[in-house]
Order: sequence, then structure tokens, then C-alpha cells
Amino acid sequence: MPFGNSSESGDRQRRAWALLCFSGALLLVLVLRLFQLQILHGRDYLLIAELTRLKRVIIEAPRGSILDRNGEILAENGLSYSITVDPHDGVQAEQSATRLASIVGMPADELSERVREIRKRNRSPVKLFKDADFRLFSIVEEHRSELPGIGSVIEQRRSYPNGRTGSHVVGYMGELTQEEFGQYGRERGYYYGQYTGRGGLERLYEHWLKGKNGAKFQMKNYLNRVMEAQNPEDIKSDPPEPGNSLQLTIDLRLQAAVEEALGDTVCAALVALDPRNGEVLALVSKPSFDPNVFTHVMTTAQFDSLFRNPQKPLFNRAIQATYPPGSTFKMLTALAGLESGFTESSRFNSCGGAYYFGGRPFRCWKSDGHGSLDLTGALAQSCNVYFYQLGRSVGLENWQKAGLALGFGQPTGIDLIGEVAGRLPTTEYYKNTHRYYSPGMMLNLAIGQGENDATILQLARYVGIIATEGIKATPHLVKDHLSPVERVTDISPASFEVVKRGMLKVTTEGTARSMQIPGHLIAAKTGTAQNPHGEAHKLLVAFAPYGNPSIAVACVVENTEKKNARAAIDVVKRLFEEYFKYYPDTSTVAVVQ
Amino acid sequence: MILARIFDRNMERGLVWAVIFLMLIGVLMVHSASQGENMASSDYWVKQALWMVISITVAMGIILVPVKYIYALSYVFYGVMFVLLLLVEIVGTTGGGSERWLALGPVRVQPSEFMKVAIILALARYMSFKKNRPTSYVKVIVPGLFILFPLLLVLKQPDLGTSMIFCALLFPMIYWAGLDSRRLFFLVAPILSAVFAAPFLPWFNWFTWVCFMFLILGVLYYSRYSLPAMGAILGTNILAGIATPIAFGRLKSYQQERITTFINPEADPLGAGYQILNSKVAVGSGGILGKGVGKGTYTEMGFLPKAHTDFIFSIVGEELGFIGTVAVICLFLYIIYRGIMVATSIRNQFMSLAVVGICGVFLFHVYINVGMVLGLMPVTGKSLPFLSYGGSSVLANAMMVGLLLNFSVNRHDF
Repeated sequence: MPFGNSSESGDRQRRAWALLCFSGALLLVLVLRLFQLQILHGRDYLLIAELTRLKRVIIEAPRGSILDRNGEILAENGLSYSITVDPHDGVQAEQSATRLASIVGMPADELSERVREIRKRNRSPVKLFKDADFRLFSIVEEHRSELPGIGSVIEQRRSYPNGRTGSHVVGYMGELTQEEFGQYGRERGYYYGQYTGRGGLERLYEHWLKGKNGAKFQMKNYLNRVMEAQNPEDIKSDPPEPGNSLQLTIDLRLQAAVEEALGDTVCAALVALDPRNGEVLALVSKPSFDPNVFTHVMTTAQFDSLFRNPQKPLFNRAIQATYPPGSTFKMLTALAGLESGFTESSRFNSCGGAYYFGGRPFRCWKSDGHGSLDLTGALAQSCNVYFYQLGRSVGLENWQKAGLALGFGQPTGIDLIGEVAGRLPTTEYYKNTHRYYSPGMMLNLAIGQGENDATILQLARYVGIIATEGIKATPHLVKDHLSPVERVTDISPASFEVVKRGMLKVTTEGTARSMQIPGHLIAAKTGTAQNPHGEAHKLLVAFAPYGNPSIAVACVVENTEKKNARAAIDVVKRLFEEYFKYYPDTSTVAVVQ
Repeated sequence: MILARIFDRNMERGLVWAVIFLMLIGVLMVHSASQGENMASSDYWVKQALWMVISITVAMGIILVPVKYIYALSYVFYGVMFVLLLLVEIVGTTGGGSERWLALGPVRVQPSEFMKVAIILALARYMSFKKNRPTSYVKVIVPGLFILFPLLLVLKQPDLGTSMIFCALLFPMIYWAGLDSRRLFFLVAPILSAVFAAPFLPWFNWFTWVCFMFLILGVLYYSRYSLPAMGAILGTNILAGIATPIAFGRLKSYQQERITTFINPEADPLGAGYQILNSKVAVGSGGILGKGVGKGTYTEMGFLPKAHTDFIFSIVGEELGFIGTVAVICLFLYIIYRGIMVATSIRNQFMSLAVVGICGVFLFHVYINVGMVLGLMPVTGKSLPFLSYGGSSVLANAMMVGLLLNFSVNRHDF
């Protein structure tokens, strides 16, 4: 070891000072930085520290239920279970995924790959299995300690205990998209991804049903795990306000009976309403859909059956589709005739199977003819020749006046979205589309063919107006909905009375005799809507009881003229049988006696 | 004999108390950190207290070792450590993304921690010979080689923090060994030049580099070097400054990204940047007086990973506030000050140089660690001496304190 001091002590002293100054300067930088962080910005950082550990958590407001007129549940809130991944748990979460896969018997690689993807792209917990079955949920809960990074959440889920029944009325739910959330979601108190009404009453009465989301503050650590609060004051909460429930005018028993009678293979629609006040008792569109599908994870088959189905189950045939009303329009022509001076006993040239106009035959459905008929008889037999002549005599202007009074060519104003107006050809209409109007056109209009188009809802209300001899109530689905009830002034009650008698004859001696139900008097009118694309649609309008009408019905069954010409009659008869079970009426019995 | 040594009048008692005080703060802070949600076990502070006892025992043991043995074994120690470092390269185990550990039976050792001690002793021995005094640029080459080989191995692990320490301890030692300040400046200048021009570092860009070039020109003007020498020095610096951005620019984008996150992990907000942000929030939220021991809610909620090891200083900041953090820094400055005073008073060049080297290691450790916690330095995973929880670094620090005290007791011998 070399001994002795190798440098002079003065030089050493100088170097020692230099090193000391250097050390001091270096550490002074740290002190200055500390001064900046802790003294100058201390309060800001304190605020950040507080905010980070307190997180605002939204409590979803329970959505209001939807009930039928008797309090049966159509839509309620169930629970949905989801399995989540927390990206903060990193590689651990992937290992947990592999473990979870081995517990529940899934391909491990696939699952851990998905977790890796989630981990790369997100910072807060993400749903790995949305809407998992309860078994998976309980497995995850049970193995919680062995599965770091895997969690679970329970959320509200809309459920429809009656499934398909009434789906077009009740509607369905869908998740708020990112776009919608940005546009109005936050202002209206939604959270991103919350379910919102997408169809039917769920959509129309969204604000009424939704309620107000609440919020609470939770102490969370960096893993987003909820910690026990050290200070209860930290956990102020803002309780949610539950949504209001909605009671409908629908009678689930009638609705279900009709849907059952129709089955899900046909395309059909039916509206039954109380003509005295416009309460809709049943509104059916077939094929229907199961609204529960929308709040679960949809399978490809389910998606295809909803969106790629040529029968379009989401399409509400009762209000969104229009049909040529066919012979059901003969009451309209009859009423127009009665208002233009014709009477019940007015007769025209007798029916020999066809009526010649402008050198061209206009045929009756019965090729060997009906002979000579009066007005009620012509209604009962649905004689075209009679109505060709009546229509021609009445003229378009009188006819269209009656049509407008009976609510055609304009929406009824039902509380559903998407109702169409239909089409009632008027003088103006012909001027605009054909540039001319010839009296020959009137012949077709008079029997409900030609350019007439009406929705089943319009037809139901039309029958209701006839049944009540002029009460024109706006159809509605919500019980307490105050809808306007008008009186038709252009048509006198006496005219209605004649037409009603004609409709009664339809079931007693006319085209719908099979509709008779012992002990009850039913008035009806059959119809056939010509369909240029295929087999004609069978229509039926009816009301009952004859003496004191409390139900008016319109029904269409598509493409059934040859297969089952009585399809519509059978369905409405089934509805009436069910109806009389729950709504007995003494007046009908009195009339019969 | 032990007592005689420990109560020797040349014993640096103030330094001993400073170290013990820092260690106690360390145990307290590890206790706070282990209350955290994300800690696997909460008895870290007991283990840390145990490490404190081990450290003191090791330091006392080293005080007893005669200086001549230390001197005699210094090259051997260097050789053994170098071999261990090579072994890490071959059979090392991974920890925190890089190979740093060597499994020796049940214990895992980090040879790079002990390599620091070995380098100090070997350099001190080499430069204690008058003929090896670094009085010219040429004579710096051999001491530089002492650093270079371990440096390359450590860089390959990759462990940026330790390689920075290796590099940094050379300069105080060669300065202490006799290199004049002018040469020292021009040795450090190209490194600084490259750093100032680095486009991937925070705050540095061409502007800082131009400023630095003016400084070099000024120093050159007063250096009275010959014109060719001046040109060579200036050229080296300009080359270093220009080469860094160009070399960086020629890299593929993923390579650039890798370097950027290696040097400046704040660029990766989910990774180390998250850590830095949280440590700044933790320190800042402490304010002047701090939230009180055990009341550092931010740390306890588990927002800070590695709170008990590399980020222990953020708990000091949160719980003890500005008063506490400045006190800890002052204690370190005091230790360095006493160390330099010891080095000044030792006649023997080997011991004196070693003490300066030890002080340098402490200084840079503190700067790199605290700078990282405060967001001034890249996240390099260097622990804070005496406070951080951990094995190898605690032992290495204890060895260095032991050596410092040993040399202070024997300052008038030889």
C-alpha cells in the first residue's frame, strides 16, 4: 500500500469545497422541485389526491313497469349478471382468465387472448361476458380470491314476462349509442350504455318510465376496488328517483287469446277497442317478436329472424301497414248514400253477377247474381252490383265527405310512433295524381277497392263510430291518457242505425254466419283486399254486443283467400268468446229475448 | 475491541446518527406503505427493521477489518464481482423486466449493487499510486476501463440506473485523484453535449444544446489550449451533439419508441408514466407539514406501486411534507459533507479516494431516486439508500457505510 498523502493539503481543501458545492447544488435542485410540488402546488395535488380516491358511481333508477288494464305485468325490471375484466390487474387478469376457462370448461387460449386485447385498450373495467348466465356469475363469485382481475356486476335488465304477447305495443329496449349519448344522453341524465326505449310504448313514454338516475361516491383504490369508507361524510349519495309505471288499456287475456289463435306463422293484424272511449283492448301484429331478445346478447339466428326475415316481425301491421279495405268499406258507401237521400229500402237494378258501365263489366263476387236487394240485404250479402250503383249515384264528393268524417286518410292519433295516414282518394287527389277523374273510378272506390288504403286501426275505429252511432274517440293505449272524444256531425244517428242493422244481418243471414255465438248478437262485415303481389287478404270488421256496443274490432289475415278464407272470422269469433267471458252484457240478452 | 473501535474518537458519530435516523424513517415509511391495499403482506416493516439490524451488524463487521486486508483484496473483489455480473448475463433471473438477479440457493443477489463497491475499491487502489494519477487525458483511459466493462454488462441487462451510477462515480474519484477541473470539464462535456441535444429527453432540444456550445466556447477561450486541441474538443462536442439526433432519426419507429420509453417512461402513460404521475400527486398532496405518519391515504389506497421500495420517498413527501423531505435531503447532504471532510483528513490516498467514491455513490443514488420520484429523472428503478426496502442494495449500502467509518477511524494510520 502506498503511504503518505499524495497531494498537497491546500489543493485537497479546494477540491473538497468544489465537490461539496457540486453535491449541494445537485441536492438543491431536488429541494427546489420539492418546493414547487409541495408548497406552490400542494393544494392542487391534494385536490387531485382526494378526487382520485373518491369516484362517482351512478345508481340506475328503477324503470317503471308496464301493466295491462288489470294490473298484469307486461314489462318489469329483472337482473342481469356480467363478468368484467379490470385492465389494472395486468398479466394477473390473463392468468385468471386461463383459470376461469379451466373451471367452466372453455378454450383457455381464446379467453386469455380476449383479456389481453381488453387490457391493451382500456383503463377501467370492461365486460368480458355481458349478460352471463347465473351459473357463471356464481362460479366467479365463489372463486373470487383465485381470480384477481376478474369481477362481476349486477345490473338492471328489462324483462318481459309475457314474451311475444303484446310486443308491438310494449316495444323493446336498446343500449344508448355513443352518438346518442353525446347528443343528449348526458343532459337527460343517462349514463353511457344505459338502455333506453327503442320501440312501442317503451320509446314513446321513455321519460315517464325512466326516472332519474342517482349517484353515490365510493372510495376506490387504484384497482377500482371499493374500499371501506374511513369517513362516512365522504360517501354522500344522491338516491335515484324511480320511474313511473304505466297502466295500459290492453287486456292481456284478450291480447293473448288473439295471438294464440293467429299463431306466429301468418302475417296478420288485429285491433280491438272500446268505441265509447277509444281504449284499445288488444292490438296485435303478426308475426311478433320477443322483446327479451334485445336485452340479452343476441345470437345470429335471433338477429336474422328479426332483421332479415321477409315477414318483418318488427313491423307493426296494425298501424304501419295499409290495406285496401275491400267490402268493409261498403258501410261507408252506404252511409254516404243514406246521407245523400237514399233510404234503407232504396233499390237499384237487380244483380245478375255483373254491372256494365262504359261498356265494361264490373263483376260481383257471386257470378250468378244476388237479384234485387235493399240496402241492408246488400250489406248482408256484400253485393258489389248494388254498391257500384249506389256509389255512382252518391258521387265522389259525398262519398269522400263521409270517409273523412269516419277518420280515413288521416292518422288516428294513437299513442304509438310510426302510425301511417292511409289514403282516402278525394277529388283533389285525383287532380294531383291522375289529372282526371272518371265516374268509373267511383265504382271501385264504392266497394273498397281502387286507390283506398286504410290501416287496421282506422278500420277498427270506423266500425266503432258506426257501433256507437257517431262517437269518434281517439284510440289510446295508456289508461289515464285523456284522449279527445268527438261526435261525428256529418252523419245522422238514423243512418248509422240502418247500417248497423245491415251489419247484424251479415252474421244472422249473410256472409259471416259462422261468427254467431249463442246468447250474443254480433254485427260484422267481411272483406277481401285484392293483393297485386299474391293471394288476397281476408278482412273482417265487427262490433258487439249489438244492443250496447262495447268492443269494435278490425282484423286482417294476409294471403288467406284460398287457404283459409274464414281465418279472420275465426280469430274475431275467438276474441268475442273470450271477451264475453269477462265482460258480460245484459242488453244483448234482452234484445234476443 | 469492537467497543474500542466504535467509541474511537475519530469515529464519525454524527454520520452514524444520520444513517440510523434515515433508517428509522425508512422503517416507519415502509410500515406506512405496507398498510396499502395492494401489498401482499403487511409485515414488510418488520423485515425492514430486521434489515436495519443486519445493516448495522455488517457495518460494524467491516469496521473491524484491517485496512491492509481491504486494500489487498480490492482487485480480487473486483474480479469476483465481475465474474458474478457475467453469470447474471448467462444464468440470471428476470425481475422487473430485466435480468438483474442471480439465484444463490434460496437467496437472490443483485451483483451490480456490490459491483459499485468493487469498482470504488479497485479504482481507489489503482489511482493511489503516484504514477497512476490521472493528470492527463491519456491517464484517464485505464480508470475508464475499470468502469467500462461492468458498465456494458449492466447496460445489457438493461439497467440504466446502475450504469448511470457507475459512470457518475468515476468523475468525483478522478477529480479527487488529481485531474484538473479544466480537463474534467472537457471530459464531461461530450456526454452533456449528447444529452442536451437528445430529442427524446424531456426539456432538451437544439436550443439547450446551442446554449451549451456557447458555454464550451467560453471555457475553451480561457483554457489557453493550442488551437488544434481546441478544435478537437469543440469538434468532439459538436459531433456528439449532432450524432445523437441523427442516430436517433435513423432508427425505425418502433426502436425509437423503445428508446423513448426506456429513457422517458412518462411517454407510456399506462406504465411508468402512471407511476410518476401518482408519485408526484402523493408528494405534492403532502404540502408543507404532510398528512402525518400512517395517514398517507393516497399511498395507502394503493395508487403507488413499489411504494415501499423505489418510491419510498413519495411516502415521505405525503406523510411528512416539505419539512420531512427537506430534512431527509439535508441528512444525506450531511452524510456527504462528513464523508468529504473525512476524505480531506485522511492522509492515505487509497482510503481517501474510496471515501470520495462512496460519497459519490450516495449522492448520485439520492439524486437519481428522488429525481425519479419528483419526475425530474427517468424511471430507472434505483433505490433510495437507507430508506428503501430491499436486500442487496441495503447490504451494499451497509458495506459502504462500514468502509467509510473504518477509514475514518483509521484516518491517521498509514
